[in-house]
Amino acid sequence: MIPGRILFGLATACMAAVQPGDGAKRFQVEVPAAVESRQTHLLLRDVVVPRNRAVVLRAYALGADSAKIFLGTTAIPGISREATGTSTTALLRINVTTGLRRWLATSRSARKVDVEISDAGSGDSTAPRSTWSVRAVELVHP
Amino acid sequence: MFGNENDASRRQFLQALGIGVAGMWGSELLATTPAPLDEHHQPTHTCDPPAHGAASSFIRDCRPIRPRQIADRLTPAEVTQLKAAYKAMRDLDTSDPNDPRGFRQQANVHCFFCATSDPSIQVHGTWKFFAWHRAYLYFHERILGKLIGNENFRLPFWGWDSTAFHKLPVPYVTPNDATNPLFNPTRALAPGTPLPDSDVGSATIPVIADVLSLATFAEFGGTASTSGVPEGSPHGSVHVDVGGDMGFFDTAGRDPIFYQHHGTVDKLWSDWNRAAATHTNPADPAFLNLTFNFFDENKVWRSIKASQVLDHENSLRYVYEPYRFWDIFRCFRWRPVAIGWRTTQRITLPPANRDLGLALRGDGPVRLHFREIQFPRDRTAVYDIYVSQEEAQAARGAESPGWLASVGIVLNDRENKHPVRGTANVIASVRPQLRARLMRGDTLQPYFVERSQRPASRSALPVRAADVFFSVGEMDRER
Repeated sequence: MIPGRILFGLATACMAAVQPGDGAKRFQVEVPAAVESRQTHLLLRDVVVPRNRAVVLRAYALGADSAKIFLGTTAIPGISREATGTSTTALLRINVTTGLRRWLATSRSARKVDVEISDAGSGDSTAPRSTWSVRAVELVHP
Repeated sequence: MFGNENDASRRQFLQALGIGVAGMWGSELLATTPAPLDEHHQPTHTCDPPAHGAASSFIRDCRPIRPRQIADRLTPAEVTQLKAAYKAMRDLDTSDPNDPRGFRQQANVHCFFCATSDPSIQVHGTWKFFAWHRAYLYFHERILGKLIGNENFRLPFWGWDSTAFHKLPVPYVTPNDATNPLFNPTRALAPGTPLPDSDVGSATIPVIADVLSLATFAEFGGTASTSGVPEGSPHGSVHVDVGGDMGFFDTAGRDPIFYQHHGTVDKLWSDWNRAAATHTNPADPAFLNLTFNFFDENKVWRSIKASQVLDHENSLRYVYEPYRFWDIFRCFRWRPVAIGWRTTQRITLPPANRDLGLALRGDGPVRLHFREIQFPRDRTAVYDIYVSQEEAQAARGAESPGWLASVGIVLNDRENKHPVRGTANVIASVRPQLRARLMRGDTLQPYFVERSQRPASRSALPVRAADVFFSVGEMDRER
C-alpha cells in the first residue's frame, strides 16, 4: 500500500520497452513535473528475485547521447544458499533526486526518461547474474 | 509462538506481496516462474532460539553512556578487548552450544527473524527494520561486555558513511585467517578493496546525504507494510558487497562484520533523526508497541518495545559522538524543563522550578534547547544565536558571553529551489555567564544573525521556534 501523498505525486507508470542483452531491463518513465525543486524517488514494484541469490540492482538514466547517468542502488540479500524458488518484494524505493537532476541538465525538454536497471552481482564475481524481474517502475515526488 | 508457521497469515502475507499478479510487462522471470511460492516458504533449516519461558520486561539500563567508535579508530588495547569478547562468544559455541550468548546462537537470532516468510516474525521490509536491529545490537553488545567483564564495552561500527572508511576495518582482516575471532572465510570483499561508491557514496555520488535528506520516516524507515530507502541501499547493498555469509539473511550474523555494518546502519537512523526537526519517528502506537524478544547478557529472555529503543542515549546508553565527561556516571540522564516559551517568546527562569535553579547554581550540566527554530533556506550560511538583539547585532562570536550556538544551513542545490524557510533543532550548553544572568532573573530574547554578513548590512532576526526549554543533567536513582 502506498501512502496517499505519494500517489498524489505519482507520475504515470511505465513499461519495459527494450531489454538489453546483459540481463538489464529498460523502462521508459514519465518525468514528474518538479524534479528540480522536489525530491524524486524511483519506485520498483513487485521485484521478484531468487531466494538463493543476493541481488544488487543499480538504476541508470540514459542521456541524450546514450551515456548512462547513475541514479541509485537498492539490494535484496538472499534468504539462504539452500533456499529454492523466488521471493517478491512489493515495493523498493530509491532516492534518485541527485542523479535525475544531473540527467535533466542534459535533457532539459524531455518528458520521459529511459531508465536502465541492472543486477550488479553479489560481490562474488564468479557467480552468475541473477534472473530477476520487476513489474513496474515509476518516478514520484514523495 | 516461535518456530510455528501460521498458514493463514502466511497466505495473507504472500497475497500482500502481490504473488500471482500478472506480469503485464512481460519480464523473463515472471513468465517462467516454475512453481507457486507457497511451495518454497519453509525454512531450509532451523535456527529457533533455545528454550525459554515467558519474557521479562526490559529493565532500565543505568550503565554509563559511552560512545560507539569507528572500528578503524580503536586503540590497540580496544582491539584486543574486542577480539577477546568475540573469542569468548565463539568459545561458548563449543563449551555450551545451547547458551544463547554463544556466537552461533547470536547469528541464529538474525536467521530466525529474517529468513522467514512469516510476517509476524520477519523484521525486514517494514518499519520493524531499524528498531529491531537496534535492539538486536544492544543485547549483542551487552553480552559481549558481560563475557569480558566490562559493562563499558560498546560495539564499534564500520563507519562506511564516511568516505574514509569504505574498506573492511583492519581489525576484521588482520590477521585474515581463522586465528582472528573477527574473521570470516566466506567474504567476497577482499581486504583493502573499498565498497563501491555507487553503494556508499563518494564526492560526486551523495548516497549518504540523499538518505539523510529523506523527509519522512515512511521514506527513511518504512511503514507497516513497506521498507524505507536505506534498507535497500546502503544497507542491503553492503550486505551483498561483502558477500559470502553476509549476502544471505540466514547466515549474515555469522560474520562479525555484520554487527559493525548494522552499527553504521543504526548510526544513519540516529543521524537522520538529528538532521532536521521534522525527522521524527512514528508516533503510531502500532509502531511504538512493536515488541521484540532477545536473550540478555544473563541468559534472561527479555522483551523490549520499539518505544524503548528510540532514545538510544538515555535508554540504551550509547552515542555516536565523542566522549563527554558526564557520561562516566551511572544513571545519568537529561531531564527536560519547560519554560512556557509558547506564551512569552522570552527565556526566563521558571521561578517554581527548584531543580533547574539548583542545577544552575551548582556544577551540573544544563542545556538550552530550541525545537524547530526557523532559519532562512535561500542560501547556504552559518547563523549564530545570541541571547539578545544587541548581542546578535554586535556578533562578537563564540567567545562572547551572549553567544549561545551556531547552526549551519547547507543547501544541496545552488539554484535555490528549496522552501524559503526551514527548521532545525539546536542545543546550547548553558555556560557560566549565562547561568549568572538567569539566576539574576534576567529575561532573554534570543536573536540570530548570519555570520558572514558585514556589520553595515548585518540584520539580527528574532528566534522563532516551536518550543524552547532547558534540560538538566542529573543522576537518577538506580533500581
